Amino acid sequence: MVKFQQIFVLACVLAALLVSPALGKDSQILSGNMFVRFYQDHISGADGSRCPMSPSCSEYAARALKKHGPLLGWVMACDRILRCGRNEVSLVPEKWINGRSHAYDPVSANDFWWFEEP
Amino acid sequence: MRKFYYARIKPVTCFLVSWAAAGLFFFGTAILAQAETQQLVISPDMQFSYADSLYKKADYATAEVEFKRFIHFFPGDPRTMEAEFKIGMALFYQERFYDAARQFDEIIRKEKQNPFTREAYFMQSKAFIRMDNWGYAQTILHNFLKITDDPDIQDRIYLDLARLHIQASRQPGTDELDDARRFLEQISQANAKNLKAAELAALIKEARTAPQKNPVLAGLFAIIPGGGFFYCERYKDAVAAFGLNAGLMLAAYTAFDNGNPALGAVIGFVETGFYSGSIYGAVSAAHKHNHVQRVRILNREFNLGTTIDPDHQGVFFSLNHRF
Repeated sequence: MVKFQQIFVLACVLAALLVSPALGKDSQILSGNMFVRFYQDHISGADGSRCPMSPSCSEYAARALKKHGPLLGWVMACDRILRCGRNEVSLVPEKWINGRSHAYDPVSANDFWWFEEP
Repeated sequence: MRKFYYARIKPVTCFLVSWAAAGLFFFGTAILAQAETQQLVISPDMQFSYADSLYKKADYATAEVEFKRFIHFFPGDPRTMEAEFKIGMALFYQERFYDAARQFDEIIRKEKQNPFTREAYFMQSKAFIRMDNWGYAQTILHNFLKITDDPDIQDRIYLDLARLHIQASRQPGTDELDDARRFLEQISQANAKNLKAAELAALIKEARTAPQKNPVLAGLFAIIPGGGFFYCERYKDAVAAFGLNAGLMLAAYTAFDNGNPALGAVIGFVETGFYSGSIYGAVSAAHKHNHVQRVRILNREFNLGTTIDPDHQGVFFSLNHRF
């Protein structure tokens, strides 16, 4: 099931959404990236990275938020957490990082059907 | 007044000295002549065959240098264009695709009516494909198509363009199979069999009619959490989506029911994300399923390759099959 850390990331994103109207358009807080970076630096860094996907779910969330903004980025992050380590692992290409196999699932593999890369 | 004294030399001594000088002269001349006969003069044939042997041994870096040497010392030789082309090929095989493309471009600019120039167009296009520059690869072939009158060459261009579009259709979100089919239809009946155009057309048809998942239906099924994933045959994802959404809905309901609306709202907000995410994921899964099906079929494409026969100035067609 969903781990505490993943819920924390979502709570951070939620907080970002709540405070976002008061901030500028290009703010890091608006995109939720600041909270994801905090999670990556201070929680995941201490707890250890175990995500079987590449990019990791937090990195995927950061990229989705940056690429598609807080609303769609959040939805895509939730979708990724739901799929993390299950069927996707056997369906996507393998990527080796530091001697460990990861399922390669970038943001572009999940938005290609509606988003055209510039 | 100064006096000069002359030494008296005996006739025998004079005779011996003269013979020694003559001997030295003849020996010296003989040694020089010997040295001249050992000096190696490299002919165009020797240089070209040496470069070519390196090329055939797949020592492409050295072959490139030796072909350049051939062009430098024998610029008027009729094999210069072949040497130029093989420099391009050597660069291509060394995976220096940008340099190879430039080399082929030089060949194209130098001479128009030459078998190696014709091959240079195809190879330049291939070099751009290897650099992931599909647009340039297509442009080169389209330009070549405009200037060539040879129906065999035109058919090869149509085939390469069709294959380019098929390869492009392997990329997510790209569908150029209709373009590929259009070019295959332009191949003349005489060459259609040799170029396996019918097989490629059948492959495209198979990719088009492959069993697909309807993304709209997947989205509709996902109204019940996990239903969309189940439809897309992602059973683990379906169970996870159903369990998580049901759990969060129950948690939000319980929080509201216990008079804790703040907690209920937060959980409800998080649940909204997961619920939306499961619908998004289901629609995305249907698209990904369709794409994977297509790629699986297109990867069976007959891989027709062409190359120059260096000995007979002809063109080889090679047929590979990807399993």
